[in-house]
Amino acid sequence: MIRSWTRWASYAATAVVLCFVLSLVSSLVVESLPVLRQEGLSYLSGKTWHSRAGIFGALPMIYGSIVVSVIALALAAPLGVGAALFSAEYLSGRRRWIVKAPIELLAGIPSVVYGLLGVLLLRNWIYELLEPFDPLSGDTLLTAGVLLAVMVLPTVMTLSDDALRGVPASQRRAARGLGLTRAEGILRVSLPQAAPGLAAALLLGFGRALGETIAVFLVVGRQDNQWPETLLSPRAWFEAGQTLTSKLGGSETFVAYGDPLHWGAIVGLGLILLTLVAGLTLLAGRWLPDGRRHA
Amino acid sequence: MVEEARRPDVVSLVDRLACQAEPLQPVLAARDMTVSASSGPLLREVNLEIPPGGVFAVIGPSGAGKSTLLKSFNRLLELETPPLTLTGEVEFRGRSIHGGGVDPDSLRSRIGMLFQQPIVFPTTIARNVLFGVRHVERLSRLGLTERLEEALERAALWDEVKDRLDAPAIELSVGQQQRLSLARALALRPEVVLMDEPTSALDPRATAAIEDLIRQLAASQTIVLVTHDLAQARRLADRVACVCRRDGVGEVVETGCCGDLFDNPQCRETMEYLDLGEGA
Amino acid sequence: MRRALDRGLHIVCALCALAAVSLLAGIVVTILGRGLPVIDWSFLFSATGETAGSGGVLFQLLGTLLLLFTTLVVSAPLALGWALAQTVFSPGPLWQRGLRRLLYALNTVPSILFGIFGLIVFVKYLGWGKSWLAGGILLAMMILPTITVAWVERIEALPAKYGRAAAGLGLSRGQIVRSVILPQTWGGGLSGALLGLARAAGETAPILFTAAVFSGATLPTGVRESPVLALPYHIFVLAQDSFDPATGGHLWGSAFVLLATVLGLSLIALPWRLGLAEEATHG
Repeated sequence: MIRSWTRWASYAATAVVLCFVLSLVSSLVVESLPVLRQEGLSYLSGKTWHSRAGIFGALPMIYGSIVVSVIALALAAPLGVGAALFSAEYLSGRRRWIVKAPIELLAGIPSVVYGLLGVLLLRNWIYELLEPFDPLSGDTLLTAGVLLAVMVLPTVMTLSDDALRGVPASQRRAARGLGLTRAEGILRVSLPQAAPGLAAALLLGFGRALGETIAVFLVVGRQDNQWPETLLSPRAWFEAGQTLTSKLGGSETFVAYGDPLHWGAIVGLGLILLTLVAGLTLLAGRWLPDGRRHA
Repeated sequence: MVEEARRPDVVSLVDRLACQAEPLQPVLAARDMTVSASSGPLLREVNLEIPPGGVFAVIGPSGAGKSTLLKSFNRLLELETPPLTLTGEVEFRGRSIHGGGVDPDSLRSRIGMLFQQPIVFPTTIARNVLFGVRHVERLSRLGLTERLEEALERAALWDEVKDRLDAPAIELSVGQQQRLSLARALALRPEVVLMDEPTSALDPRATAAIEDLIRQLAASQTIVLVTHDLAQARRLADRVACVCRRDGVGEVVETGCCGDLFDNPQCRETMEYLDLGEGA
Repeated sequence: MRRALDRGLHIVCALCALAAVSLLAGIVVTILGRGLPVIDWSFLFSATGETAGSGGVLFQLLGTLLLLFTTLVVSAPLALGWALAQTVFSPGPLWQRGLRRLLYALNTVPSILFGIFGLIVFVKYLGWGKSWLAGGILLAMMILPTITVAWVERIEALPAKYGRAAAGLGLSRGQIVRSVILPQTWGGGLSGALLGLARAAGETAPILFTAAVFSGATLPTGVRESPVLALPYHIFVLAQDSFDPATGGHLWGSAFVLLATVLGLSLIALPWRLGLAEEATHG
């Protein structure tokens, strides 16, 4: 079977990668077992995190991650879908690249550069913006959310553009042929038919925002145990917070290294993060046709 | 199989007289119209008048520019990518459709269009039919229901779907979908209906149904029918225009009353085309 | 009324597009404006100084280059193997879909988790301490989907006639792969690799715990306990101390170099990516 060594080599390569993926997931589970066994559900629902006292509650960080991502999406979704509409419905052929090229470049900017811009520029702007609320600094959940919005914009825009272009041209033509204006064609034909793809775009953007570490780390304030008095009040956004990723990327990860419980708690955060992102991706996958490129 | 309709001699004489009588103001007209793409002209110096009422057929070999001609009448041409340019005049009821005060969207609602492939929106039958009317006219709920029934009646679809107006439109057969597309256009009560090879995607039975429909509509409506099926043109048309390619560009080489054109074609190209058609 | 809506929507969408494009322009202009003045030969070719924000980024650049090289060497063959397993050698459509889905799933894994996994495997279980090789391997796995997807697209775009002609001549599948598919599709793999490397060059999270240090390293010797300096990590650490104005210029300069590296890699891939679009429409 010497002739098929290429085939077996390619299977072997696939197996190596599969091993990697499997061990990544299983190691996260295995290493976080101590804290799951010890704390059980209170790990997820606990609102305090005092590593030295052995109390590990992940809820404020889950809250932080979600708030930051929601803010990001609230800003990026209208902008991204609007830009995608412009590119898909109002521009044709090569002119589309006027919008698509900058967006692709925006997608390529490293997160640490965004973080730098956040630290040196955005942080001060937010601080000034929040003057009436007497903030402690410009490092807030809001700052992280705004920064993430810019980072997530390319994802939302590109996937929305794909979804809109998937609507058959014959449908648009039929609508125009009846005498509908271009706006009516967009609102009645393109958007409704592209809706599943647009939803997937938003979900994947949300997942991307959840997983971002470096930029969020630099501007979110990294304040533990921030839990709002009233759950949905935006007041809490003007203060520093902590996300799953900002905790994971911090020095506590190194410190936790020696103690199995502490270490388990940290890795557990990673497990929670992975579960959230995986869930969103699975959900989005139902609405995205097979063969979509960006994720 | 569909049989060629044989006109009684008396009717043909009357037709011939009507054909040669003083034409009323044409409902659509093209004057020295040229349509060009970036690669060069597609249709050259078209001079055409379409009288009101009856079926006006546009025949010719494929690729000659029949569809382009049709789309120039409702300004659908300007939505093509890459955009095509049009010089000369196109008139609807004696007024240029490219004038300053003309709204292309309202023009398109007054000139209905039926495409080769039936286009059905992913919604119910009723909503499909009322899709255009909802936006173009302000009708009460009662008005909409009446318009719905009227349009489906005129499209000979009412009896078949009246019990399932809220069913998804894609459940209809292809032939029914084409009649649905027609109903949708008719719901706007257009003055003219343009049809771009409406039966070429249909089987013979569905084709016959649409042809009957066209004959019925022609009594109250002007129909401009593009077709590559010469037998169909013979069956349906009162007047015919033949579009052929000369030097790689489409031109209207001949127009005339149906009977005249088929029996005594003036133009060499028309003759060649008819020969090919008949032989095929 | 309808006219107003038509006009209004047009304007709103145009403004959104304008905003998006302006964001990019603003970011690039800012970094260019503040970073370019700092760049000179000494910045690129000298090591960082003792005091924060002095000196150049030579070893950070070299470290990043080493990481990229390792990443490429590790990921390219694996990506090729996966691409072939998903297309030519795929035992069936279920397998194909499963592999594709898995690939997209891998692509959505947050980069910090690669870092955490690296900490578990390379530092804890293998005891390597911080190692450039660990960083390279982790980055390779992170960009694997990018390379694989590009290669798969290129393979699937290959006209069937090539494979048929070769099979007609009696070539085995393996031979077809080596003599027909590889020569025709390596461009797709290359463009995917360049894009993946562009992304890897800017990543901090995977190498945070496993490969990079802020100071005290030049070039590694060996595998264990051989960290490197890296541009993104360098910026990351400095940014946390950014209240010190002295670091300002140095930071912008480093950011500029990083951005230039990333964009440069992406731009090199452009001709291949445009070529693929051409083939898709004509081929």
